[in-house]
Amino acid sequence: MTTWRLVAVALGHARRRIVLSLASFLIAALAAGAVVYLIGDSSQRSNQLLDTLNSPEVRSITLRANSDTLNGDLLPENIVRNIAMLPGVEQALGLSKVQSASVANVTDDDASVGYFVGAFLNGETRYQLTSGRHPQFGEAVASENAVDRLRLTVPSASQILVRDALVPVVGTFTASSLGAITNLLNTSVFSPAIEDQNGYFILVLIVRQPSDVVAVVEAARILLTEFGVSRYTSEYDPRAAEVELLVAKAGRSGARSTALAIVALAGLIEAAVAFMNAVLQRREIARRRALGFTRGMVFGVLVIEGAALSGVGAAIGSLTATIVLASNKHSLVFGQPIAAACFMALIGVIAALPGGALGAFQDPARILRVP
Amino acid sequence: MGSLISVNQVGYRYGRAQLVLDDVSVDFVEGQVHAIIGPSGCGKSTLLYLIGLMLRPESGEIVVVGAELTHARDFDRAIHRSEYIGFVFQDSLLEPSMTVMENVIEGIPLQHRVSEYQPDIDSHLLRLGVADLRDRKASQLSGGQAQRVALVRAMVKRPMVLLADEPTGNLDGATASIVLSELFNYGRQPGHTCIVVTHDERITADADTVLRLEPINV
Repeated sequence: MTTWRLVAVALGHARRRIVLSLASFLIAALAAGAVVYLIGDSSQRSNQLLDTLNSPEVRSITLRANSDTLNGDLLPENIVRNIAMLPGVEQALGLSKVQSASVANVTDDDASVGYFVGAFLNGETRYQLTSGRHPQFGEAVASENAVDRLRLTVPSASQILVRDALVPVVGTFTASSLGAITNLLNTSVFSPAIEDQNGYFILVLIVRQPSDVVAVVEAARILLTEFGVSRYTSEYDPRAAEVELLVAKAGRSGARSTALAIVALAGLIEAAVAFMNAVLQRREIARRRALGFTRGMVFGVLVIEGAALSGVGAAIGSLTATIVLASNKHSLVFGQPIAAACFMALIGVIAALPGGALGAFQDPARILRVP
Repeated sequence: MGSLISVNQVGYRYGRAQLVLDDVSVDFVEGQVHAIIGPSGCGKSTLLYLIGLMLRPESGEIVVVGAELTHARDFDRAIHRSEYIGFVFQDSLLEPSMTVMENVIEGIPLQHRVSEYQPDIDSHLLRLGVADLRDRKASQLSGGQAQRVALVRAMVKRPMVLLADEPTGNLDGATASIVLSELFNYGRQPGHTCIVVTHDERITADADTVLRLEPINV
């Protein structure tokens, strides 16, 4: 009974002192809204940055045999297949050493492009046909750039010359998401390798996330120990493992500091408003004390008043910021606006405490002008 | 008839020097109206606030409705005050932005249910001629109307002790008569008492006891 009547007294008072109530409400609304917007926007920017840094280029590992002759050392086929199936590997492409391909039957044309024989050892085929069909063993597909360079007028019904052998071209393609070799493949002609290939000159691995890079490189090193560490080179970005952590830290710590500063400032202003509220209510409080309010009741009324105003303000501010973020197509974490509203409401309660104490411990008899 | 309030050798001073009451002893008996009179600064209101548990005596003790709470916790004194003591102030002390009804409800202890008091509120408002004003803001009341509402607020919880500090000080003759009549009727009921600080000779003439306080010459 007492609690409900205290709430009624507090809300009644908030309604009557509309200017102070509005100030308290607006401060909480603005602070909570700013915090939600700041954190939401920061998260969004961090996520965008992460997406960028999560690109195949960052997640790619290139293992290259050190052989400088066409039929020299190759990464052994059985080891390559094991590396391709390591946990964390999303995509693996084994390639022969690049050769030169030129236009067939055109003796005075010296235009040539790179020619790869390769196999997708894990994951789906990472090139998109733009015309023709997928090649069988002994056939090829040409990248759009290679088609231009070789001036193939009917790309899916042409032939190219590779080391004295004619290779029919059955389609064209563009490659993407193949990390470091995407550009290289996009200027080349590609043929599928046979099942029992002796080995590969280059193995390109795309791992699932940057943090997998170092682990996969280490596992590959162990698998290639027998082959010999001096006979191959691994290329990757060693900072990839730290990318996610760094981005998350950098993006969120700045926003968190600003948000805390906003909340602290709002808390101070709320406390000042609550203090002023208690001072302006001196006679009202004294009258209530004469009518039988305990100090605790006076304290409770003032704190409930502050908490209610800042709570409602924080909720509305958070909701507004959420709507604004959503309308800007920001992806939101569901708990963030709720957490921000609750935190700001808590700050409102804390800010109301000094004012509540001032009201509760004032001397009612002196205020009622005795004598 | 028994004593509802017993003041025994009470002394009180404001600050360090100004002694206001010294060795005051008096009993206030139930079923009577008691007047406290004296020149300004003699401690009339101070004694009223001591009895009302708004101040603590510096020396002596005050027993209010069977409880000696001089050294009790503020919480116990406030609860005792809310249960047994009603106050009427000279300037009515209504909250101007609240309605008459809201002001009256403030007089009901928080720990009680308002609905239990509704019949009493209605009858008091009706008897004092302010029933039609129940939804009006206190700021729109005349001084006499405000004081009558303040009286309803003080009486609504049926306190055993009704304390009034210059209740007719700001009232015209007709309104003062209504207020006084109500105070006297209330104080003379069995189990109740009314203590009035006043300069009003009509009160001293009709009161059952009159306590005269004199300024202390230091």
